[in-house]
Amino acid sequence: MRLAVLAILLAGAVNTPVSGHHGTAASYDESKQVTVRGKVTEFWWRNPHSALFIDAVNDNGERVNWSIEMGSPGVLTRAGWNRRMLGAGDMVSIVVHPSRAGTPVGVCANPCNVTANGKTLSVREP
Amino acid sequence: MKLSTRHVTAMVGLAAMLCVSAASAQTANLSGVWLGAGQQGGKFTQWLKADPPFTPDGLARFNANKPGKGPRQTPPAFGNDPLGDANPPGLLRTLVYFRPIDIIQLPDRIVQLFEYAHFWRTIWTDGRAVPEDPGPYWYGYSVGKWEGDSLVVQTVGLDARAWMDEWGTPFSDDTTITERWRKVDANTMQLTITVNDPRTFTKPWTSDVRTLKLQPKGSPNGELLEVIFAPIDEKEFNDRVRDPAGGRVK
Repeated sequence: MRLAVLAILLAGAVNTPVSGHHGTAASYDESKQVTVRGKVTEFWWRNPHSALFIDAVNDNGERVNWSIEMGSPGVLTRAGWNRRMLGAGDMVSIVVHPSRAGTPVGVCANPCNVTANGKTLSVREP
Repeated sequence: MKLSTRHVTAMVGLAAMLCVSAASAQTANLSGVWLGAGQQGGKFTQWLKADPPFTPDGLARFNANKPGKGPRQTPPAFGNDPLGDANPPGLLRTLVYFRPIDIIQLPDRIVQLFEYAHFWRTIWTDGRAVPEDPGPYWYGYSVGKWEGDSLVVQTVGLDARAWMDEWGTPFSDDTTITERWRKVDANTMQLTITVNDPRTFTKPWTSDVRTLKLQPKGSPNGELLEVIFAPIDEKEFNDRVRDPAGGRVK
């Protein structure tokens, strides 16, 4: 299966403030959304934030490993998530606000929806 | 009338109960898990919508702090938030953050357990004096007394390497904080702090009212979780997420 990054740039999209701690909004462009699809290489269940790493392929056919900032384990736990809900090898799709710096890094949009192996997980940051 | 031993015992018991009741009326029971609101503040600090009265030195230190959040937010990759290296948030920043606080009220002290960064502090209510020049401590040294139904806490000895809030508001080693905690109903508590710090502010100022709600047992925030910022995790997060997000790649 071909991995793909589908970039959907939604200028002027509804801007939901991201309120994770220490400086999320400053690093990411909340006016844009990018859908990242691919295979999970790592899932961190740890503070200060959980993180999901995804191997995807860009429009030039190059493999890119995305780093995606997620909620803290506390926020995810309160939404019913646990550390085994995602793991290496899972095929996922996730909508992120991309880095303002143009690096392959994003923060999961709020609410954060991750479709993994055909099932969607959701969490809203407080 | 001659009183029997039983009557005397009953009267003494009743008197004791009345005494306990009268003593209880002097205080409120603050025990429970409380959660404050997330968004507040003005142009400078989360504690106050108005502009705090900075001294020139205080304003210079404010401008030197580069927070990742608030009106002056900068990508953390290029900021200097002490939390970015997993240092403790300290007392004031914890009190203004929206994570649960578990309050345990004992006869001689009140213990506050903070989910945010997994710290605690003690407020001594045993009549002791506020010590002279203690610390510095990230969570200060606190002595409380009851004024009617308000718990009034003097906190001194705060370590000024911490920030007062998420937005980089500074304070100095000379700071004295007066906290007022008051339950306005069974499920609602209000907190204000008065900041007396002549090095940072030209005059004492009192924060806006911070409202906290009691979190029922079994509710999502009714129990504290472990939220430890471990340096080993923070460093890897910085290297692989936070710094590249800001465009800083090693």
